[in-house]
Amino acid sequence: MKKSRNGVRKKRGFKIAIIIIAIILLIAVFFIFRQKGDVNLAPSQPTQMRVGVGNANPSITNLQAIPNVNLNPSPSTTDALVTFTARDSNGANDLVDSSASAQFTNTGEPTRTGTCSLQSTAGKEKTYQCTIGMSYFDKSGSWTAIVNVSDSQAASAQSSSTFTVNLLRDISITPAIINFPTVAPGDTNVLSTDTTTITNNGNFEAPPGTILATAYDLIGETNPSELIPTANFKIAGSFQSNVCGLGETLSPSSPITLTTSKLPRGPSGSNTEAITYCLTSVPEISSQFYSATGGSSWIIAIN
Amino acid sequence: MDYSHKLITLIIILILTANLVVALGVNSPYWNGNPLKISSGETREVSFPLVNSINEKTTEATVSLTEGTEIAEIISGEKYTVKPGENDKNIILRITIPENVQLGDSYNVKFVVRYSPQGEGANVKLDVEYNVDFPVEVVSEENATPTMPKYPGITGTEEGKTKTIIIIAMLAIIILIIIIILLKVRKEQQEKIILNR
Repeated sequence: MKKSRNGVRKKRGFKIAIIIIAIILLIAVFFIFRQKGDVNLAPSQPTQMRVGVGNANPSITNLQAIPNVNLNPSPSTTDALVTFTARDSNGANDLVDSSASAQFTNTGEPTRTGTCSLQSTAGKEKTYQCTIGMSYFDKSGSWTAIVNVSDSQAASAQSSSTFTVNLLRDISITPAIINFPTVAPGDTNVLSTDTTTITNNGNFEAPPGTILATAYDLIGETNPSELIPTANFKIAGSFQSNVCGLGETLSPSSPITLTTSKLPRGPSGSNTEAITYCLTSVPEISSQFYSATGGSSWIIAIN
Repeated sequence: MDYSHKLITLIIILILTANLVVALGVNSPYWNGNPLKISSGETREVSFPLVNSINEKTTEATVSLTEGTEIAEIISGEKYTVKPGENDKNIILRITIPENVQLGDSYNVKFVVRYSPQGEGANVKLDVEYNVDFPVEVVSEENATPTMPKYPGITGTEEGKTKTIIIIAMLAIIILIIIIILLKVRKEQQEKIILNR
């Protein structure tokens, strides 16, 4: 009796196991062969039926979010990566890899284009990664990324998204020193021997009123009790040729706005500003070197 | 002066001039016209990467917060050393908006980055300062500035995710069946042992 019961149990268990395995196989078959409604199964026997399948347009199924772009300063460019996935119902091989392209656009700015390469293929999809070089002076703010790919029949797919280019403040000053010729007490309107060239290595723009200068007294190097006051100096940008007459008078420890100076962004040659200095009067002081260095260095500031 | 002497002189001048050029920059994700939008009670850390050109020398910078101290603090320190070509030294600000702040309120946060280009033996030495400021607007949670994923490249497609879930589910079912079968076999073996006794 027990043996026959065990036999029944075994048979029942076997049937249950077969049913479970069949269900799993059915689910697997359903999901493996279900690929967005495409027909994958061909008739198993040759028939007289003839079906003409036309070209299916490719589509872009995924364009990954582009993180904010931090630009590198001049002279470097910055590579921004764009990754997108395209799909073709006629098969991934119908997508033409060499046609994959990406570009960045922003009204009034040069369009930046890049090169794309195939990253991976999965089913009827191909994923491309594009590298686009951006310049140090490309405008900050929102840019549009447009990606494209075509198939063998020249049918194309396009997609776009937006991303942000961050604001890069980066200036260099050449030289970072100011020298004056040897002067005598009572001399007036002595121009500095150095003109400071400010170069914008970033994408910020400094309109008039955003370049500031902070100055300190020039202290006697031998006898520090003697000095040339800050107020005896004037400063001006390239739009003011008469620095000694119409330049801005410097004020001790306080930022002075260079009202006519501006610093545009742009390619080399268009992104500079020149600053000149004038010692309007030399006080009655002893003969020695006078300087403002270390903690008393003058400051060129950008707002 | 022959050609070679002129060339040597030119090279020396270029080297001396190059020594005087040092530039350091700072990238800002927010600026006037592009505010940080944040909800009340929220705390966020915002990075401002310092960048140094490939042609420049190692540069030192100091940073100090001058406005917005009621909501912002610099948590990455005051002094930074940035090597040539380096672009991942971040000034990190922690912005904390109190719970009781009204929607529409705004703040201005400002910090100063100062560096000293090389240059000696002059009447006046010049330093450079960047006044980095940006507005902070208090908005509802849904209108807050989204935070970007740190590794956007690893997010898969929806199709890929579905396949992964199916595979995991199938594996789980198979493992469950194996466990049931093993338990059944064990039980039968135990029954056999009992019968044999």
